[in-house]
Amino acid sequence: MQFKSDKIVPLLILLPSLVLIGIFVYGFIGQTVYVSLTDWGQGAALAENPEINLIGFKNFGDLFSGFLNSRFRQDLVNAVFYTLFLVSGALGIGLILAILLDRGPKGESVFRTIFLYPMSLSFIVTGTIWRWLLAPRGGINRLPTMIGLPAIGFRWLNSRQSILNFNWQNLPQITAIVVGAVFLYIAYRQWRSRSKKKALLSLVPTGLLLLWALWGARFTPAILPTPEQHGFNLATIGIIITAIWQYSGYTMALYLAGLRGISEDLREAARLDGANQFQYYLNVAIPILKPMTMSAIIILAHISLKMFALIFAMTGPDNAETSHPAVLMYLTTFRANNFAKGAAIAVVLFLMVAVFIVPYLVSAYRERRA
Amino acid sequence: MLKKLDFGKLVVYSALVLFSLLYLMPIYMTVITALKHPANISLTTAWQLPGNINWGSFAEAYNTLGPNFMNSLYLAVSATIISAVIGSLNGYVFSKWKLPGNELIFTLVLFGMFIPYQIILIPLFRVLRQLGLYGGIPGLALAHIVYGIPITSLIFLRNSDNFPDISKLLRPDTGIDDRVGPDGRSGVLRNLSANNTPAFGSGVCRRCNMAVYPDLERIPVGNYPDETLGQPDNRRTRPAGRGTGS
Amino acid sequence: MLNRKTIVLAAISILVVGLLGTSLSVAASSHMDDLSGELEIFSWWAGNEGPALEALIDLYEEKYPDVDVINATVTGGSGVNAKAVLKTRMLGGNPPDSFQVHAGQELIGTWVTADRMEDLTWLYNEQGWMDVFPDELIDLISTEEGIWSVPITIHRSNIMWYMPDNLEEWGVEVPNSWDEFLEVAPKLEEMGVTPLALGTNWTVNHLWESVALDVLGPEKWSALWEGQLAFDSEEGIAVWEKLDEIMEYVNDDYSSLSWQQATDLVVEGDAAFNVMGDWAAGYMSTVLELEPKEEFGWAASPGTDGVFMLLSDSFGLPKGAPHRENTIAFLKLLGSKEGSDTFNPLKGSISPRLDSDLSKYNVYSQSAAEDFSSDRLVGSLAHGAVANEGFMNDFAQVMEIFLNSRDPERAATAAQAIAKQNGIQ
Repeated sequence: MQFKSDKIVPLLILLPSLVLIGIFVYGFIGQTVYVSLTDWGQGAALAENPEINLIGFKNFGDLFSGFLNSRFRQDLVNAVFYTLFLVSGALGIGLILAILLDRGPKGESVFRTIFLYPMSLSFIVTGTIWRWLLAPRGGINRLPTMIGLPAIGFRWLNSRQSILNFNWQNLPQITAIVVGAVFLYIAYRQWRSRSKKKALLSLVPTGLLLLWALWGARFTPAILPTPEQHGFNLATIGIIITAIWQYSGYTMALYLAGLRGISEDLREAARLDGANQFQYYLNVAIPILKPMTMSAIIILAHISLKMFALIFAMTGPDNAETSHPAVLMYLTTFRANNFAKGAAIAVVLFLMVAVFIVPYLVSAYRERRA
Repeated sequence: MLKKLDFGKLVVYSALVLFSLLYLMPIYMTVITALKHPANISLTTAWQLPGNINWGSFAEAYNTLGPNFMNSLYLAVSATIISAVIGSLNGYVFSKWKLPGNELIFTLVLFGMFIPYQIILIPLFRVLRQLGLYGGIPGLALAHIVYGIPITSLIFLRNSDNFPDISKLLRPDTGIDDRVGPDGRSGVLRNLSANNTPAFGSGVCRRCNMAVYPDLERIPVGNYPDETLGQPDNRRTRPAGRGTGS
Repeated sequence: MLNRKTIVLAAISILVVGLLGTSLSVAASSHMDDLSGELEIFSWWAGNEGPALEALIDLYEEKYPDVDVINATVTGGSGVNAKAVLKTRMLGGNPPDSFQVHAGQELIGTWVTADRMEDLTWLYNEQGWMDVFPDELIDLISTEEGIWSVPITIHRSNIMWYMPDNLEEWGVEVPNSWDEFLEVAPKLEEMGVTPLALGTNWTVNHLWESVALDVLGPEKWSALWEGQLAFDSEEGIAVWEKLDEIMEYVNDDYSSLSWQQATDLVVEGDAAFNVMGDWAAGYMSTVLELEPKEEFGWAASPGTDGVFMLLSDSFGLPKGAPHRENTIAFLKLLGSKEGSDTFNPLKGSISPRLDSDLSKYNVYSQSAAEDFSSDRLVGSLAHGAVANEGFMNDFAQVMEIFLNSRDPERAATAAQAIAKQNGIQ
């Protein structure tokens, strides 16, 4: 009897949550995926009983190779850069601040508070403040004039420049080269760990991918009819700075806790071995902080994919230079009434998040099992 | 040696001060703009201190935001409390009762924490509409509660790992060590005190305060992620025993 | 004495009293002055436009003191936020009594095709509006199935602003066509003056439609929107080519200026001309305190003299409006002379009625009203009269393509593609 109640009671406690999560997370994801496979949009989308037909993956095809969806493709590129720079910037600055505070200066708690308070603000507030600061005719551009230097001429959020441009038509080849390089690296590692057979096996996809990328690609149809340049828009720098300003306190707190947790014995040992401060940090402290870095990367990466509020507050809905798929989804759904296309954009965004989160969850699952 | 030390400290302090200025700059801007008269606010004079301090904008802001602020308060308080209660129950269950597929279910629940909200936006508002909850605090609270369940469960799970297994203490036939030991206390008491880490109270509440924000951005704090990866908690040592179930 | 007779008598008298009472109260509630309950007006008018709406609501409350008017505004984003909230409300089955919407395709393409609005032809006939509103305006806001909203304001889109004193100083005359502008522009540039001031995003769309009106003429402009002229036809491409030439003479930092800042460039003498709707007149006379005609001047944007490109804010009657009678009373007020002459002077626009009392309006508005009654009327694209929301959203994308590539053919092809996608071609 107790055996049974042992199983039933916990199940009953969990049941409401499981049902709610089942509906509100998985059910809704399923529903959005379904909508993305239909043509619900435009004209009669807002009728009480709209006419909806299933059209398969056409929306997705359109997003990636439709002539009119260049904004979506640029948004994807922007999202990649946002993630890259937010993560590396927040980690880097957080680490520097943590190391500085680890030295135990006077007034450490004051400094800590100053670095942490941006996290307590919401994105809308931060976005509004920084928008004012980054206005091209005032704000930061005017700071040098206070000490007699000429004003900065950078247009910040309104800049139309971009660097690191590439042609979207070349994307499959670029992807193939990158994946091929990854396989090459795996083969190298396997060779080093003496599994020659596995190494040779890994060289097969490497060879195929590189062969196709460098020679065979010209025989496959282009994914886009006309060349289309995409790159890193300099206008996003302002937003990246704001996001780093907001989140470096978080990484700083993480790293500080980690650094403080390194036992004194280890520090003593390092000092006895003749390491100076710099070497201590480089060779001892930072490797110990690796697990924190991993989890911080996951959290920051997934926050950067939720940057809708910040971008909307800073540049409004129509600035294509700084846009993000989340902003585009909002516009497509609520301004153009194109629910199916909006759902497709949401699904792509979701898959981008899943790429980070699923491996993390799988490894967390394995750890808990063990 | 001493000189080197001083130079190092100088570098540290000046770097910290420089960073502090950068971090405080937006606050400075906000405060002086709030205190300026609206007619004097312009991009060209943005950095200058206000000539006459004008408190009128605060009154105006209060009047505009006033009623909405109460909404935020209701939402924050109710959603946080309910979410935390549900999360605590779930956390305890996931930690203590070893159901088959326990970890799998937990992982599936945890996934809900990471989804971008765009993927659930359209169905959410359809369902809220069908439930008649659209456009009011209850509907918003429901959304916040449901999407807060994963993170609160995670937080309470981590803390529950350090709990004694109360149910086992209360059941008479599971081999509880209630013999009185040489120090006059029963095995039960000995195990209880060994497991009740004093940091629990401050730990949970600190996390449950910082973890659930009233807007849609859930910002996790504390070093729970590395702990779910199985890394040791560097900040306090783990207690010696884990309950009496063995 | 409770015998059968008494009972029957009592029953009959109760019945009679009941019937009388019911019919009386029914009669009473259909009497206009006894309207009660609420009226929820949904708009995005705030800030400078707030007083005009307040004045209108005051007028309504004078007439119907028992109705509680709820002024539900959603500010921000020039209506983007309000429209999003409106859509979620309508989809949620909770429509406001009436909502602000640009008259024309913005309303028709979104709500009429979704069968959410009531036809107002009967109201027009009852109130005699068919004779008071210009025919071309009524054509723009109706479909074969009926008339869908009551316009309250008229703004003009194809106006060019300048400082007469500055033009005299530079020895330049107001160009009568964009070709003339292109001749004058190099001279202005030599003098260090930006020939044309431009702002961000939608102001470029605004410029495009003035250019298109010049290149195509009003007939072909209307043909575009009726699906009879393709966007990638020769004429369609010619519009983008002309815009390409004009963009050479525009300020470099246009993407970082709001429309007010672009107007400021003209006022401060850094630029010569600016094409903007007639809300610029309100900005210059109220905020910058300049005298119309004496300190700032206007003309139809080059090549569009005699054509009035209009946009109009209007209100309709959604199906399922909670307080239908109150809403109908509100619509009647909007279309009346009293209502529109109360609202428009405060807002800085003109009345859609041809018989408005011009003495209440300022110098600019009087000139605009004259043009409105005599010119050929066409609808604006940038402000929702001739194209539905889907097209307008996608057109922003087309403009991006043009501004990045400056390739007229590519832009024209893209425009045709989105027109097809949105059911216009």
